[in-house]
Amino acid sequence: MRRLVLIPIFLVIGCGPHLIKTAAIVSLETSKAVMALQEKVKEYHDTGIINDAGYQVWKESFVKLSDVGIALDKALREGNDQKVIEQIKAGIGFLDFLIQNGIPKIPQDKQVLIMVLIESARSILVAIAAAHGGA
Amino acid sequence: MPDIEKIALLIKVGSDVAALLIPFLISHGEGEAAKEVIDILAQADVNWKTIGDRAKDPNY
Repeated sequence: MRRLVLIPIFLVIGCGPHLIKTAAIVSLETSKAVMALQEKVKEYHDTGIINDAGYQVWKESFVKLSDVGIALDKALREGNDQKVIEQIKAGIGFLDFLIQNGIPKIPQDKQVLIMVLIESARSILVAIAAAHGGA
Repeated sequence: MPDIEKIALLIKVGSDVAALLIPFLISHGEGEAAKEVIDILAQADVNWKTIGDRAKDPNY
């Protein structure tokens, strides 16, 4: 009986830090992908590739993505699966919104790079959603 | 199992035990491991906040 109790404790002690670290790294990597996207879009605006109206669409979406990211990080830290799924769905929704409404504001020859950056962030979010039963 | 599934499984378990494990690790002398995880999460927090701050900045 004592052995049965000890096994999960050893599992938690042995694997726990690595598992939590994985969840933490995923949140960090998603934020890096969104930051890279934000910097590239700003560069396009600064060089006149995207006009002010088009840039505004992107800026508003980045504010929403930031809120979602902060809430996602908090939910991951708390181990709250339901909140994690809610935030991921919201995040994917905003990225899909950008594909529909932000991409057309960019000249066609520059769209591929931006799509790759969006998909990079999106695929990380989908992986977390799958892990939490929300895919 | 494809790598993506392994990663997903790791995240699932990691997230579920996070709330319990961080204080547990600290109380059992594994403060360094707990601190490393908290530091990574803190970096993510900073990045997410930076994204929002930049987007709200009219000069950015």
